Order: sequence, then C-alpha cells, then structure tokens
Amino acid sequence: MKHDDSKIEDLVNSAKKGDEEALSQLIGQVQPRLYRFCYYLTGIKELAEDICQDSLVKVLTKINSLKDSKLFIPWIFKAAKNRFLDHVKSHSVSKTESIENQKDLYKESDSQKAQIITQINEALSFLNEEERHILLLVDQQGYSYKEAAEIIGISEAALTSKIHRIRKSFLEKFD
Amino acid sequence: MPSWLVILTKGVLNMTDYEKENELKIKAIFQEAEKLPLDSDPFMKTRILAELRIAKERKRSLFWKISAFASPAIAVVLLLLILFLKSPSFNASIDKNILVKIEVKEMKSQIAFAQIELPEGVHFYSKLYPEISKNRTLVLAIDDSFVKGYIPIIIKSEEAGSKRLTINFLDTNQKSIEKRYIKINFTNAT
Repeated sequence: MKHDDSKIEDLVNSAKKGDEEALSQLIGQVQPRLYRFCYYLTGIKELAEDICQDSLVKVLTKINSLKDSKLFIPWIFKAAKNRFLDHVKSHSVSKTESIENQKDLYKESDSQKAQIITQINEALSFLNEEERHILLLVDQQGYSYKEAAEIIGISEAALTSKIHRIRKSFLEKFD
Repeated sequence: MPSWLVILTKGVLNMTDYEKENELKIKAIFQEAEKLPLDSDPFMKTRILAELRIAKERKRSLFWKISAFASPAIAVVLLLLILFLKSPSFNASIDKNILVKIEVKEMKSQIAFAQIELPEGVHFYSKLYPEISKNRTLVLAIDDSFVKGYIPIIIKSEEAGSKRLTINFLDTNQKSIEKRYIKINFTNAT
C-alpha cells in the first residue's frame, strides 16, 4: 500500500522554514504510520512508542540538513530501523514476551477484527530483524524493492532473493 | 485462512506465479489490518514537540556559550592583524647593513627610552661597538641629541623572509607608553 507523500513533502518544506504549525502537522501525519511500522517491527507497544518518538525527534532536529523533502519518509524509516537495531543489540527481546504483549493490547476491543494484528505480530515474530524490515517496507509500506533495499542498506539483488522466502514463511505462520 | 483473505486472493489463485500470489495475500492482510486503529500514547506528539523545543534551546545556548568564549579571542586576533597591517613595511637585502630610522619627532613628552627588539636572524651593527651584534635588545635614551627627529640604527639579517622589529617606548620609570612595529621583507641579494 503506497502512501501519497506529497502533503508530507509540503509540510517538510514549511517546517524547514521554521513554521511551527507545519511541524506539528507533520508529526501528526507521520507518527501514526511510523508507530504502526514500529509496532509490527517490535511487537511491544512501549518499545514501539519509544522507537517512534526517538526517531522522530532525531530526524526533526536535523530536518534542515535534508536537501530533498521526498527523502523525509525513507529517512524516518531508516532512523527507526537503526534505533531498533540498537535496542536489539543492547537487549534481547524474547518472542514469547512480544506475543503475550500483543494479546493484552486487544483484550477488551473487537476481538475478531483485532485478531488480525495479533496474527500479524505472531507471524512476524518468527522472522529475524532484517526479514521483518524487508517485509514491512515492501508489503506494508509499499516501497519498491530498490527503495526498501536503500533504506535497509542492502543491495536490491539481495533483497529480491530474500523476499519470496520471507513471504512464504510469514504466510505459513499466519495461516 | 480467513474468509476475507480467500475472497481477496481468489482472482490470483490460478496464477502460475506462486510468489506473486503470496505478495498479494500479504498486502491484503496488511490492508485489512490498516482499517483497525492502532493508537499510540496520545501525548507522544506533545512530548516530541517538547523535546524539539529543548534541543533548539540547547543549540541556541551552545551558540552563545561558544560566542562568549570565542569573541575575546577573535577580538585579539583582529587587533593583532590590524597592528600587523598598520605597521610600516620595507624591503631590504640579506647580509647587507641597512639603516633603520625610528621616528621620534612627534612623540609624547613623557617618553624617555626606546627599547628595540630584534626578531630571530637579525642583528645590530655598529662599527664603533661591534659587541652589540650579540644583543637581541637595545635600549636607547631619547634626548635632544636626536636633532633630526629620528633614532638611527643599523641592522643586518642573515635570513630571507619577513621580519618584524618591535620598538617599545618607555617612560622614566621603564613603563611602556607606546609600541610600534616595523616590518622588513629581507630577500636574497641579486
């Protein structure tokens, strides 16, 4: 699902000029999308919030150094990826912990519909960090193989060779 | 497999490209999940804006701190540069005696001595007092004997390059009243 980022680009340009309102709107536009990505990535609500917040602060502090506003969203995802990998290096997130955590999240809500998010996270928890990034950037965020490879920092060929296997194992666990 | 997923992917089930089918299935799963709200902390935006404000303030105060430390240094550098540029500059050949006239005509009345300091590689010369060539500094009393309004000294340089003579004017208590510089560019004699 490819998002239309043209509004975000305009907001980035205004925020760079010091427009506080544009900055606030930009956060409002990007935060839910980034948070969902971080939540799928980590499977833990609090950790997803931390990563989402830290990544946005980091990127927005340096927003004036961004030459092309089209690169803002990929930059945010890259920052989130790096922040998550830093976390993984310093803590080991257990799969059981993350799955249990997701179950609690939708305990009181529409369980049948909410089931899908739990299922997604369960299936994602069987993938390693890089595999999760690939799948989320390509199939959840709608990036092309080339764009996703650039964000992750691997070659397009490497990503292409991995994605089909990743999709297969995700679906096996999802079904 | 949930029924909605079967319906969404029904059109591609007979496709030979198994991988394409998987791609569509996963994209459909994520699209379905997108319909569900996934709310983060409602105060996250406020916290982000607050952190950005703090970072901005920190940057601003750092700038002023650096400015506060750097300003006196910049001022000193500028002053030295001005003094250096202001000092008169002359050309001379190395290994040749040259006469330097230090003007004292319109000096302040309390000035009693002129202390002349030579840079490295430059020496004083005197036919009558050859021992002064070893001195790096010479202090001369300023009196009416300098009838022509200047102190004449003879110097010689062994090295090529830009050299700067420092003349420190002192009062009777040896207190510095004024400083003057003379720049001489020594070149190899042709």
